[in-house]
Amino acid sequence: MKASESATDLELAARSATGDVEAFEKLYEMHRRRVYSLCYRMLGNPTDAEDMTQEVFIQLYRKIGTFRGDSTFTTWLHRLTVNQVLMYLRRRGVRLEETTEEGDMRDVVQQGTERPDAMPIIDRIALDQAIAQLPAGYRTVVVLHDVEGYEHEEIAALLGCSVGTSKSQLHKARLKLRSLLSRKE
Amino acid sequence: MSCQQHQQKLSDYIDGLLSASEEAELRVHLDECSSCRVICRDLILIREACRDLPEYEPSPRVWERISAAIAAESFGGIPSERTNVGVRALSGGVSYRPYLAMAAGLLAAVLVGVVFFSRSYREGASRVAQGPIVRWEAQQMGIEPMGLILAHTPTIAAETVEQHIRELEHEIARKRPTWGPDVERLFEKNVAIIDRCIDRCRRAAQQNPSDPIVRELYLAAIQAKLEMLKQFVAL
Repeated sequence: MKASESATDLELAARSATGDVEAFEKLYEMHRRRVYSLCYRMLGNPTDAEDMTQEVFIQLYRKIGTFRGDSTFTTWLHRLTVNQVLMYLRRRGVRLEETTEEGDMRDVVQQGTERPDAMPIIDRIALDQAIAQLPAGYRTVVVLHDVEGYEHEEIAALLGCSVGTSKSQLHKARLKLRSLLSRKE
Repeated sequence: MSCQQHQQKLSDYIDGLLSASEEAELRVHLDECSSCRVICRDLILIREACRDLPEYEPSPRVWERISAAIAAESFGGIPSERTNVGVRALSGGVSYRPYLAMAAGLLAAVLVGVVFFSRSYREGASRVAQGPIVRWEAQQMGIEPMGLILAHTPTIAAETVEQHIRELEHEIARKRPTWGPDVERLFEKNVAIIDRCIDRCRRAAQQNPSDPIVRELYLAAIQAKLEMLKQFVAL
């Protein structure tokens, strides 16, 4: 993020903390796509993502006075969003630290192909659709690691699992994505 | 080491998390095994594509509901059951921190009243008297209230909320010079918040005239302003 954008965030956050709804609306305008897209990818459907986006920004409005600028506003909001989504998934009984509905995926030998053009370009829309089809445990790890750039240590702390489990989940998620994307071709 | 064992290390390999010796061993295998090499290449493609996914746009109603909810909170009230349905479903209940104590409870009472009233008039026009709010809304916004038959042209004059608001504003203008700076600031802040909420709800209602949630929000907002003005007039 550019320094000017950070300064704007900080200023708008400070004004929002005093009850300035216009400043808060500007923050919403600046960050809504990122928050909604993160919610959409972690939850896998647009309806839940809109509800969660709503919840995230209401929580943000309540907590914005606690933002001190120690991290960038984007990072802070991002973490708030991830925590809200994880809390929601846990309340629904989703066990994020384990493989979910498909059970533990067996470690089978994946078949490659000799064709050099088998998966040359990945359609981003198809990839998003494939991510949405993943079991919640896989989806959470692949979104946090590959899409959002979290390290395994951070993911393990967020999910309450070991680093090894996070790595294992990520690898299985990537293989599952490969399988889903291959079927589309 | 088998292909299966090598494949289990592919993600750590492409993420640069293997030790030097493990990496060297895997490289040798990939040089020899085209099948594992293709899988490795696919996983790299997937990882790279994940870093470049598009962002999506939430629908406009998300902000409408957020702004209504925070306006309700600002007035110390409880968002309507319907307007806050998503929040409630997700969080299993919401806590509130009123910070405008003078206006606490106003919008909550209004919202309850509005929801109750809207239920009543949906049950049948013949059994329901037209309230001034509904008549006012129907005339000003060109919206046909659900289940309500406007059998005659409503006499809105002194009965409309808008007129009530104007009358109260006139009264406030008369009393305002006697207010202290704290009351003045509080009034300005409250009016600014509720007017923004009314404006948003009005625009949303114009864009989505059949959305009952937006209609209820609008009704709640104008009633909240009416009640707030009454409080300041009574000072």
